[in-house]
Amino acid sequence: MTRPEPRVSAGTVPAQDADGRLALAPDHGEDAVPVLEARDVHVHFSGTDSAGRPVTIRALDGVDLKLFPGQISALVGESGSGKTTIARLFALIHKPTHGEIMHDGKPIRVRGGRAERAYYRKVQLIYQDPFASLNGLKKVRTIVSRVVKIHFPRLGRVKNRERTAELLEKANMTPSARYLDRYPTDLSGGQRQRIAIARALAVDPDVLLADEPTSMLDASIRLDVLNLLGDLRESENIAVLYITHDIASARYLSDQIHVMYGGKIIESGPTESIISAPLHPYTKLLLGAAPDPARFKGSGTPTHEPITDSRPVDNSSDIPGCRFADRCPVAMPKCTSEALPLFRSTQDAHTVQCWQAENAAEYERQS
Amino acid sequence: MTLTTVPKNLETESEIIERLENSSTLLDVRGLCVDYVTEAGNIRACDDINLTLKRGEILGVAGESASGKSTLLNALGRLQRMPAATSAGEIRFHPTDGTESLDLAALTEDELRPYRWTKISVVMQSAMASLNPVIRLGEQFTDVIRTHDPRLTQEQARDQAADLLTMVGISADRLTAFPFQLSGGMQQRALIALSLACDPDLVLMDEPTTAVDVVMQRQILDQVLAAQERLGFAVVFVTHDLSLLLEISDRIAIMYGGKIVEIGTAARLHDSAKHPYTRALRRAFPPLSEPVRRLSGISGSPPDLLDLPPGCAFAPRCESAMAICHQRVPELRDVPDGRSACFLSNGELSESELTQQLPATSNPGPSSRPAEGGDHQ
Repeated sequence: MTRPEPRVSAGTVPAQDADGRLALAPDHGEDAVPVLEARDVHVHFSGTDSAGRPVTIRALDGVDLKLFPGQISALVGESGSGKTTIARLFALIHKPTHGEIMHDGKPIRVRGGRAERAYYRKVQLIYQDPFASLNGLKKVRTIVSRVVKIHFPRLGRVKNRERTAELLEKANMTPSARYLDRYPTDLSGGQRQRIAIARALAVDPDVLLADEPTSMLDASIRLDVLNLLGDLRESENIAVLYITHDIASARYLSDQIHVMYGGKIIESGPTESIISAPLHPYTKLLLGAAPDPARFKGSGTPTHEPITDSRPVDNSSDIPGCRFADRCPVAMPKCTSEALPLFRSTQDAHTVQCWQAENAAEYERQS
Repeated sequence: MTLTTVPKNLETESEIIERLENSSTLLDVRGLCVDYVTEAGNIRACDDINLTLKRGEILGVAGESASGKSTLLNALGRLQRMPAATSAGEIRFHPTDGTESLDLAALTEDELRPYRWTKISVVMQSAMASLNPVIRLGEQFTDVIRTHDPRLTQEQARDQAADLLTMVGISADRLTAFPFQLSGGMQQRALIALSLACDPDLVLMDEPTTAVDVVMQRQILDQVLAAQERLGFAVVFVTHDLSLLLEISDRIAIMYGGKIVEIGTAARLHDSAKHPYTRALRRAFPPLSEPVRRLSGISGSPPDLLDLPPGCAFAPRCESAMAICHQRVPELRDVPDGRSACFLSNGELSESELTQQLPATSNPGPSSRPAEGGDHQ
């Protein structure tokens, strides 16, 4: 199989591990082909404003994103920033209004049928709510083996059975015999989410799209699901898109963090670089607002900057500049009048769409 | 005046303890039990809760789903309806206006009425479910304000309402808006403003920020804390987010299987939690600024309240469980800077009894157990 010439993709070169993370991600270097890629993708919806006038809602407004095998990319940002739209775009639920999605370097133009099924054999979506995504009237065995049967019809009954058990064990449902003949209603939320993950693994996917996979789960079982995703990155060499509003869990799990605001990825880079040296005022705001156990009451650690404006973003206007400017404490006139610049760090793969990088020595303007 | 000050958090742990010791008691809960009456039998969702709340204290209540934390909150405010019923215990309330203390659990609905909202108000998770969707915001505010102080004119009540909204950063002209015209965060803030309308002694908050974004959550918390600093009300704050509670609470109560298993200051729970469940829960929240290391969830499932184990409810999931933990329920006893219900730390067992028990911990380590130990249905 010949693959097209890989594009140089410094934007998402994974960073080396900074501080003793157990799972080290492989470094793909400059010539890696992303398994899934969004190129300048726009997704527009038509809606109405508060007065009932029709407006165009720019759910995604020029997004570039690459997912690499064996890498977990986290998407963080507030509601309405476009996180879920990206997952739904990659799951072919939404079509790009403009731009392209590439799978293994080839553009995807799927309209149902066999090609679509082939795509879903490579890209799987895990939903937020494991209480809604599993059929409560079917046994675990049926839920998982049905996918095996559809995608690998020639496997035969015995092999299918073995495969189903193996999938459950991959998702840490051990011993699998204990769970195969139970119904989802017998299981806890964490167990159900692991069944959903086992089902997604049935097709041997390259990519898992996990949209808030732990937000419905209790704190005590959330980490097991995160650890499972982390382990699958290693053992199956899967690319994982981890969508979350919990930036602490993104830091725990992911290799890169992409911060979204108003349908754009405004800052992106290796996890520790984003957490320890955020550049975009919105990323700083997000990090300051997130609960941090280290700032416990009585610690004497001063907390965040005051938050004076938490208005939701208006995605309906067509502006060249930054949508965050009207909330931004350091906004300048050119933030709204000029097109959004892209700066890239000379040290690592950190990129940011903000004029603040203009004065930072280690950043170079790209566009 | 809009409250946008950021809480300093610069009070040290000893200053917090001293402040709490010097303030008088607001709420004294003794032996509170709440049952859900079901066909399968009574489910004891809160079991023998003992708790003291000081004036102006912020008490966080954390725990997993079904640990009884919301049930406790509803019982404190006498908000529960059948099939939930307070079956035992006393909620002694000492109003700050110096009037006689009284047992909230024993009052009839009519006797309770003068205390609702003027002394104890409540903020629920879903603002849209709490605000009336077809009545303008201003009317909902003036209604509350004038019900509790009928001498006020409509104009005075409206001015008060405007002040309250401004305090939480909503412009006063939104008084003419219907709740659905506000964003989710604004609704939640309006609800908090409404809860403060009658200058209460105690505000009960049940996951007030769970449904909003993290930035909005922070803004709401800042405003709650600033208002609290100015008005001096006490808060019982229920959430599953222990990281959040560590930042805002003077003290935190950890609930498990309907019982309080540990109470302590935020600093002590952060640095030296005594109960293995508290430690496990702490480890379940990844840090934001501290170094990352591999963490693990808590193996097993939460207890079935209809079929509780004979000993400590956490024992089946506990890394340090001893033989006695499966036989006897540990008491919630005083430990330095708080209380703990674990034989390892609460002093219930003598030194020699403890050493006798300890060897049992060497075999059933968490690693030798299957990933999901709890197999109840």
